[in-house]
Amino acid sequence: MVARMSARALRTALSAGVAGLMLAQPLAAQSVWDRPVLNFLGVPGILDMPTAHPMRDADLAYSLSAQSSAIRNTLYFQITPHISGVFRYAQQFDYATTGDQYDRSFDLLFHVAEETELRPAITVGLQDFGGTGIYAGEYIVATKTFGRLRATAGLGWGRYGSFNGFENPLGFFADRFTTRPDQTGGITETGRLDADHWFRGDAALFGGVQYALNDRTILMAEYSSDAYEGEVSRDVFERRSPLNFGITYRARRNLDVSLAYLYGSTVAVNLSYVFNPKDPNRRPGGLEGAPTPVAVRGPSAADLGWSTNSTTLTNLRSQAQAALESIGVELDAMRLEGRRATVRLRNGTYPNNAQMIGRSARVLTNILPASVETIVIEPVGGTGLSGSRVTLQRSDLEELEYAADGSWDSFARARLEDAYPHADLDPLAGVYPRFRYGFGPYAEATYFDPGTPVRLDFGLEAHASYEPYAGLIFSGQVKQRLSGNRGDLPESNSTIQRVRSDAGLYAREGVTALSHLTAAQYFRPGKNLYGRVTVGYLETMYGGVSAEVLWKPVESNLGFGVEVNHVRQRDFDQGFGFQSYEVTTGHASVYYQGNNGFHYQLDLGRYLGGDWGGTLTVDREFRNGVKVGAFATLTDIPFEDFGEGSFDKGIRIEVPLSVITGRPSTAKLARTLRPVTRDGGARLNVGGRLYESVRDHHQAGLQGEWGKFWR
Amino acid sequence: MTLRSAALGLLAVAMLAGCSNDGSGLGTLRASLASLGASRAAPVDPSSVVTPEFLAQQTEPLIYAELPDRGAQSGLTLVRRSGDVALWAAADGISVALERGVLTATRGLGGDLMSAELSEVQSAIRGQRSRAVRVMRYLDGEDQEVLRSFICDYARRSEPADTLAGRFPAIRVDEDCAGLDTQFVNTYWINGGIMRKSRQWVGPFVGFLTMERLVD
Repeated sequence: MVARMSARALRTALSAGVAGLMLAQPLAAQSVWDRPVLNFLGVPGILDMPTAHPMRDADLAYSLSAQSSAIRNTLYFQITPHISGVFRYAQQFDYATTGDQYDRSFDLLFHVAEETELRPAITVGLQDFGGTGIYAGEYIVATKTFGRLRATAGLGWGRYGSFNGFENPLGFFADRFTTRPDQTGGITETGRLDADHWFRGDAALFGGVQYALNDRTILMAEYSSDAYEGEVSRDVFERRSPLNFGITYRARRNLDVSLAYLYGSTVAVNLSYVFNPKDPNRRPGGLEGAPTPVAVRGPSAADLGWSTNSTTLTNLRSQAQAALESIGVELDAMRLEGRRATVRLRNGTYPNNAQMIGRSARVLTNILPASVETIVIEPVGGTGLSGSRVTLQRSDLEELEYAADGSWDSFARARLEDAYPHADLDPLAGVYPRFRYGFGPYAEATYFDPGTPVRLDFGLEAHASYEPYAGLIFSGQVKQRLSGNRGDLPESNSTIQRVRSDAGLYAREGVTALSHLTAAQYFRPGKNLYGRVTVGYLETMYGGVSAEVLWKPVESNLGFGVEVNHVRQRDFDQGFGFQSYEVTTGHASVYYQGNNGFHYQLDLGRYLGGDWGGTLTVDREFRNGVKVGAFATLTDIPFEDFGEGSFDKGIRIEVPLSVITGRPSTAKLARTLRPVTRDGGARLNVGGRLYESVRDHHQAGLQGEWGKFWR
Repeated sequence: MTLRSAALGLLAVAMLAGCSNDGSGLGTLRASLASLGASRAAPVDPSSVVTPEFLAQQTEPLIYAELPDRGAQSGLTLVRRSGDVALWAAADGISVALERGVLTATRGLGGDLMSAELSEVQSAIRGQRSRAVRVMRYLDGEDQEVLRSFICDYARRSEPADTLAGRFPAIRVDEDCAGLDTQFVNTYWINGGIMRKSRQWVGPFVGFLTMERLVD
């Protein structure tokens, strides 16, 4: 980890700092355009039309807009400074005789040119490129800023080419561009990429202006090329005029409210909230209290006699255990020698492992006799096995505590290696067997079924785990549902083996449910190798055997894994019984930690339905633990057989609680959102997979976190 | 399922106190969230607390510190000395490290000064040079280290230090620092080898820290 002094880093830090210090004061005049206004479709825009400026890198924005034809929820993520992705969930009123339609759509925006003195910003957008097509449209738009005024003009196709359209200029290149196929495939043809529809059909011009009245208020007017054909034909909506007018008020640094009068006929409201994982709160570095300082040894001669005295050794071990417990770290095992101390530590408190290592090392300097020069820390993850071995020299700790370059130097001088062969450390008395339990309320949700956006179940759960020794874990969880409507999910209409789409049946009949009951053995088959075997009721719907091997060297950004499972489908009542469907599934996986926080995972193999294929997952990971990612699975199940959605895909977001509160916590808020859950590309949901628990203790993880070693 | 029964269900479930021995559960979640709404005590006039009788009773070194931009006040007690650096701590988990009286690190403030390069600054404060480079390090929102460096100019004159512990003859040093986007002025009053009083900029999220030495 290198100390960065780029102008960008300074500017970012400063702008965040200024905003943090001066909460109630208005934004500076120039900064009203720091962040574009989000429009009623949740992308940077005016009202219904888009504009060309991107949000700041890594901005994650949620917008909620309501008008007479629809309520739209949109999640916008600035994936890179030039690419952004959108997931939209809209409730279209009176869509069909059956009532409202809940529509899911994905957008991709390419910000091809930044605004300069002479040139406007230019963006190419693909709206609803793979959904049911209600919002399908493509556009190219340019925006230029003139002081307080921003002017936008664009050319659109599809929905954006529906009002006052003219023959497609791209027809000059190929005749096929002049016509656009209808989205008439029906519900089973949704979810495909529809790439051969893009930029086809009539095109139309749109544009608008935005004027910043003051630091917080922006006036807007636009000419919309969206004819709302569908809504007008269903009499949900009256389009009297192509002109829209609106006003946006920036209530907070990250909260905007907009009010608009659209199409001469309807009033609409929009609320948008922006969260940036790189700048999540006003207390960077966290609010946790000061760490234990390093105890600097005096110049006296180091006495070695203590290391043979068993009473002293026992006392030192219990002192270390108590002191580490007071900072929220569990001491599993320890070996004390004349010049070297080795400890195995379990971190239940700090989301940042480097911080746990740094604080634990400093606590130990206050306890260990002066002759101990080398401190070796083995952090233990959920598997009970050490993830790596970090070797620190006590003199370095004494020297670098207040050194200006202490953070980088301490990392450079630390030695990080594979904790193999397994070091034979003496466990502390009372640590094993380890029994942990908990019970409390729970809430479980499923999203996006055709009937309603969210279905919820509430109830009580109890869980327990028993570890007779490091590496063997028995665990289980029981849930008692008290109330909820997840069981009301309509019956699956899947034409292929129902491996996941019976979720409603499991929810309905599993009133008292055994969520999982497993025995898992973790082991180290060799250097850089990690292994797992899990047996039992592995998840809500399946039980059997799961085995996995992972190759992941400590210093490598690349990992390979193989997992094989043989499972049987469980009874719908989530009790001890099984149904007859049995399947062998398995995957070979490649994990790659890329640049700029991007993480890639490719899994190839056989899924629960017996289908063969692969899953690609791309996550953008931030060093404070926030993750935003997307995945898609393609298998040999034909799109028609898969049904609505055509193939399995989704987005996932993970935010550690510590990022929101500023206080250390290992709890995380995590959600995986799939527009549709069906039976193709379904993977076994077994807990305790190796990669996630191992990677946090390897170089890529620790190096990114090392800034907090002295924190 | 009606909205009402959903709300009742949620309420009933939320009221049940969860229990665990593994650090999970509602209890820890509640504690974490409680910090979000923590309120601040009203400011107290320090001279009403720091009376001559109070000072006469003190046996350990003591500093009175204020964060004027946050309205926070505290006493700091000496925890440890490590070479030139003295570590002082406040009651609520906040610590301040001073290298010969000049701020070199803080912890627990949120937006802490992680470390500082002060070798030129120390010479300049003692009159051995008139210009110095000051480098200060912080963590950003992703827990990555970021640097801010400043060029500082110094002015010295004789001015007594008016502190809660009395008036001492001192040399006042004004340190005028300019960086890429920030500018601040630190002030020190030094008497003998002791920093009697100072006003030092911590960082963009904290603002200034003023300190007065009460007990040596």
